[in-house]
Amino acid sequence: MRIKTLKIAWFRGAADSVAVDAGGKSMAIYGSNASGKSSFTDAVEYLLTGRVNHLAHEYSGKHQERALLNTHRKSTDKTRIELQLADDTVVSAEIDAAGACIREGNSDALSAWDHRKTVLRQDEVAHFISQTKGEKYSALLPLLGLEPLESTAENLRQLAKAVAREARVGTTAGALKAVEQKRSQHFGSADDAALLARLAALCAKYGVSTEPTDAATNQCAAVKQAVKLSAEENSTEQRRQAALQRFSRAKVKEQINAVRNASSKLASSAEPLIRQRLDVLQTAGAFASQLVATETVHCPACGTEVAVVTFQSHVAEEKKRLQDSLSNLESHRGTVANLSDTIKGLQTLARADELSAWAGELIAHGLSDNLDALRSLNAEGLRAKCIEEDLAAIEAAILPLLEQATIDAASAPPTASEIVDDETTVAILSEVFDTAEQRNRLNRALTLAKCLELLEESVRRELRQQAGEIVSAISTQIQAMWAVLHPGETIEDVKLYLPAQADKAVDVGLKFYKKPLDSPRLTLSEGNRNCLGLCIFLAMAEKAGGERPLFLDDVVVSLDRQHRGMLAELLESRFGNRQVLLLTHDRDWFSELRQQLDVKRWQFRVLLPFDSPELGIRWSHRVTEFDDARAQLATRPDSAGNDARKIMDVQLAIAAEKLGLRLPFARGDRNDHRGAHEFLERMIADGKKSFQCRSEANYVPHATALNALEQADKLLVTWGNKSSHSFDVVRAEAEKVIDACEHAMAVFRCDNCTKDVWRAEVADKQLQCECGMLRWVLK
Amino acid sequence: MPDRDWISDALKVSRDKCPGLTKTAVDRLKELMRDSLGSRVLPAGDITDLARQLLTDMESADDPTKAP
Repeated sequence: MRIKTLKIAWFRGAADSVAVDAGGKSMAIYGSNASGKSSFTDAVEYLLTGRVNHLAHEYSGKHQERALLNTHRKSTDKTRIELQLADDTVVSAEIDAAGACIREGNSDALSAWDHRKTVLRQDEVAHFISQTKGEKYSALLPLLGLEPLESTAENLRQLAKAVAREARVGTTAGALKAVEQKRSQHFGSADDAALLARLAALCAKYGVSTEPTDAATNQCAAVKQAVKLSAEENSTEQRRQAALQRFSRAKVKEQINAVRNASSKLASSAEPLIRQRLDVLQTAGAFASQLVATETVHCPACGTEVAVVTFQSHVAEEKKRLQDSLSNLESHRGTVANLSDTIKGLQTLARADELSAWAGELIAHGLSDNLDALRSLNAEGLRAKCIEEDLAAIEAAILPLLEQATIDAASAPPTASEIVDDETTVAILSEVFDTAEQRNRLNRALTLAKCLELLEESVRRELRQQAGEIVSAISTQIQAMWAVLHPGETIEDVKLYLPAQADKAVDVGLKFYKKPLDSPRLTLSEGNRNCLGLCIFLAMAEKAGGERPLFLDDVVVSLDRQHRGMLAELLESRFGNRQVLLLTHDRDWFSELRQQLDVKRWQFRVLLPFDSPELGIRWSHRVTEFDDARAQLATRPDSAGNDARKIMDVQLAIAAEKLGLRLPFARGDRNDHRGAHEFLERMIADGKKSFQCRSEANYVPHATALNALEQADKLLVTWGNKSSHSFDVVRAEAEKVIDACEHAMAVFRCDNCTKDVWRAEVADKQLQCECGMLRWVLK
Repeated sequence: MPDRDWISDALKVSRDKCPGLTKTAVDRLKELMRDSLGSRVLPAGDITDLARQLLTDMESADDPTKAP
């Protein structure tokens, strides 16, 4: 949707309401530095994004209120932006003194206006070129329309991690590993069928009747109960012996060693890891800064320049090392848990009636303190903290008790020993069969996590493929635009590309004198870089399509005259159906645009030089640049006269080119920098025969025009030159120079059809305006 | 966006390589990939909820899917 009117009041440089009345047409707006041009661009950015990016700094206030509002706004003045579209939809924003914004109208009308595809400013032109590959990718992602794919990939990555976390994959794996260890210690390599056979044998031994369909865990529970009943039926002495057997079989020493081994492993893996992570952190800072400055990739782990593949393998190794450390940590937790469970079991046995007499016997062996120490151990607390001092205390307290229990249990009859054996066997069988469901759950979680990882890989592949297709299409457009701006030049094949083996990266490549280069920053001048940035913006805007207007704010600052001229051609040829708002402080270019661009689709407006915040941004009443010169009459008449002369230098050069005037060749720069007098001299000489106006049915020499040209020439040679060189022109003299120059330039435009005399070429014989009232006969 | 159904293709590859996936989980993943996962980067809470739902889907009684 095109813009009909953009009004701003007390916003940035604006005071009372000032409007860009585009009426749906494209506009070229000229204004000297600080005349307030960019206030209009800022207003559009504010409407689209709720802020103005280039004003974001520590002094602009929380809501940028200190930068958005006119500095001399009174409390009664209202800061307002109002955008009226071609269909009369109005979107407005009113900003109060604190920066709070009230929006009105149909904001949805602007929902398709992506600011990054709508507005390009002078300082942003080459920004894309100077970004890193990753930053370019991030900048292009929304423009390419691939943000949903990137979000999908990131969400899948996070989802895989969340599945592992929720399923407690690490902890469960550790617990299963501990059960596996017990199984192999007790049953060797016996398979599940062998274990089921052992269970069946125990069932038979203790008279437990089971059905083949009964779950193994239920059978284990029944056998446990039967063994317990069987033990209770024994004599007191038998029960004492059995209790001593159980006590003496506790694997406290082995478990303490296991904890020590796990601690040692953990320490040996953690220490170098911590040191390496610290190194990584130290080099990461340098890594980040180097990316911006040089784009050279240094591995943060080793600090050397490496290929992307090598870098990726470094990252993979880091990941594996972290996973190994986590595994060691889980193993450590498992061994401590086993030790804790064993101590709790011993404490229970020590309190049992069966061992009350044995507790008394320990006094005679000098082990009563050990028994007290066992009873007072905080077994559960070990799970949270288990250091070497704890292990030493456990060893000192329990191992003598176990030795004594082993001696005392040696005389136990076979029945007691057998019952304890069966108890141990069924307890391990129970754990093995209990963990079956845990193992299934773990496998399901691992399957799901693996699937999510594969999906993420697929999305990343798709992202790369789609990005490649779009980037290729845009590159074709960039090349076409570059070719218009740089016809016949030696920099070619300019393109965006996705660097191989680098994820989330886009870069710009080109051929420089036939040699392919990976980056324009290696060779291109600032002007060419800006030109390339402009092509990329325009290509993206063209690719996005739609009827959204384009704001180009002083984007040709570093382009020379030739390339500026070609930009007008580019806009006409490729953006003829789009509304473009060009803002420039380059008066020469503005003059050229007025000649080059079709007035049916373009308006030309001039801003007056900025006077004061209270007066704000003001339009010149006329669209000629001579008003700018007039604005200086009161204070600096010499500057006013000099400006008029400079305007004539440019405008007459354009007119001479259009009229095909042949000027004598001059040496060096003089040939390209001719002055107004030289053009006027030739125009007057040739014009006596060539410049004609229609008088009834005939054409006669255009005496009025020739007279105006002669008058302008006379004044430029005298007062105009004085303005430029001796600076002693008075206001009346400068005013006459300006009027004469403006009058002279007006003679080329037909009063009847308002078109210039070079509007149309007729059979290679003459140029003429649209209605034929004026003509210039070609020699 | 291209016409080809790349999401179905991606799911097929995953199902081939992860035969233990249940149909319920695959259906949910398909729905998520066509809709909410691409809308924005989801907050951690939403991700956790989705992970729990998917884990429950993996416990559903349906047979693990077979690649077509």
